[in-house]
Amino acid sequence: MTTPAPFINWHALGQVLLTSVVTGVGIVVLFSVCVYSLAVFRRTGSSVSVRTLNGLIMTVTLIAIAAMVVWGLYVIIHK
Amino acid sequence: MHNSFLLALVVIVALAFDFTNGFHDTANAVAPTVATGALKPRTAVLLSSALNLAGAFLSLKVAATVASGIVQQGQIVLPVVFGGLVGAIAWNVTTWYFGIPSSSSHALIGGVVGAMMAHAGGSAVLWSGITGKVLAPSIAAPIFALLIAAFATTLSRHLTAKTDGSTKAWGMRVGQIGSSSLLSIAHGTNDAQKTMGVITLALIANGTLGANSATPKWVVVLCGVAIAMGTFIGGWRIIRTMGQGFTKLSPTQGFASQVTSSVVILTSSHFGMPLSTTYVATGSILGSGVGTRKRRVHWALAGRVGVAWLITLPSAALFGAVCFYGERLLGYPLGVVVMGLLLALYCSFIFLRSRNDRIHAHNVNDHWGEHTEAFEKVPKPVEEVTAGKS
Repeated sequence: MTTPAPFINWHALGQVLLTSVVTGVGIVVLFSVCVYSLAVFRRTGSSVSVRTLNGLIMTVTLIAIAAMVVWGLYVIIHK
Repeated sequence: MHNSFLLALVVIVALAFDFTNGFHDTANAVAPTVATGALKPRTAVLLSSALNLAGAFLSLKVAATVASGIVQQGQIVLPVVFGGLVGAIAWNVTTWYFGIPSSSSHALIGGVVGAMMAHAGGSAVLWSGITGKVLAPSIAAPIFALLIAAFATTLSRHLTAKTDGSTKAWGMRVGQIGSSSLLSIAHGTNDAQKTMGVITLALIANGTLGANSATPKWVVVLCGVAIAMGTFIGGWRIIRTMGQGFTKLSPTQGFASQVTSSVVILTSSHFGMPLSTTYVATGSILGSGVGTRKRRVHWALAGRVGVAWLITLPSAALFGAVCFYGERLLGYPLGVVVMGLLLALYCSFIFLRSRNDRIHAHNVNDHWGEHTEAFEKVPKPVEEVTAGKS
């Protein structure tokens, strides 16, 4: 005897919540770090090493955001 | 039953609904972008329009849910689909006039359910599908969006606390262009598919397609174009409500709310849930207000919009049922033609009335009475003040 499927797919809703929290908060946090690094990068009087480090952080965060977005769209298109 | 004339009318009205869906929901993607000045209003809707079109081609899972999970496919006939669409358009146009960000999706599903109940009774409606695939995600998703946006805004505020205001405002505005683009793709993916689902349902009802058939390519293309055109027209009344009414949006809030809306909508689309993009976007904007230091949210307006949300499904169902009874009273296809003409007259009447208090790209950000004043009593965020000076 099989159990009838529940009306509400709690598993899918849970996955929506988990994925949204991870990607939504993740992207906003990464971009905020990027903006902070940009501000330090542009600040007058910053040493070359500080500017280089923040330039690197900006690049890495932007690549990470782009990767998350592209990966997300890829998963949706190819399901 | 093969009836080419009726089928053509249904497809035309379905595309008209898709068009109203586009202009009604333009606000979801562009309201924060326009409110914070990240993009000029016309540029924002042009970009959103192009990306809605692109989004329509991404996935067909929601279309499949609408076509097979709401009403009994075997009992559906073309006048039911027509009645549902008329109900949905009538509700969309009405709420647009009053600037209420209500759900086009709920209007569509409500209209089809109402017409179906008038045709074959409540047993022809898949109540488990309505509960599980429409109501539950529609209640849960805006709550998710509100909480995530509040959390993300708070984190972003703390992370950028020591950043100078002008760089922060500039950076977040640039981010908003990206997040608005993502949200437009998400909207095209989720909402264009609902009309695709309805046209597929009509093709099945007419016998043109077999039961559980896939959505034809021409339907995908037409729906994508219709929603893009509607988006380009721009539903400025609702853009004003969402951009200015709920909270005084800063670029940080705008970015956080748009990213949140995008990920919730795209993830839900991935699982085939036809949720309301409007409710998600509204939840995110409210959440971004909660995430500010002053918790600046106009809850009275949010409450009024909440009431409109509650009555959207039954109201569209009522419109749909009345239209179906009208069609049956006058007989087919005369009844369908008369109801279509009445809808056109109603839409023209609403459009002409809206000209008395016209909202457009040039005045959408102007002072809006009590709504603007509610936020002028509290100080502006630091980033806005600094950005204004630079």
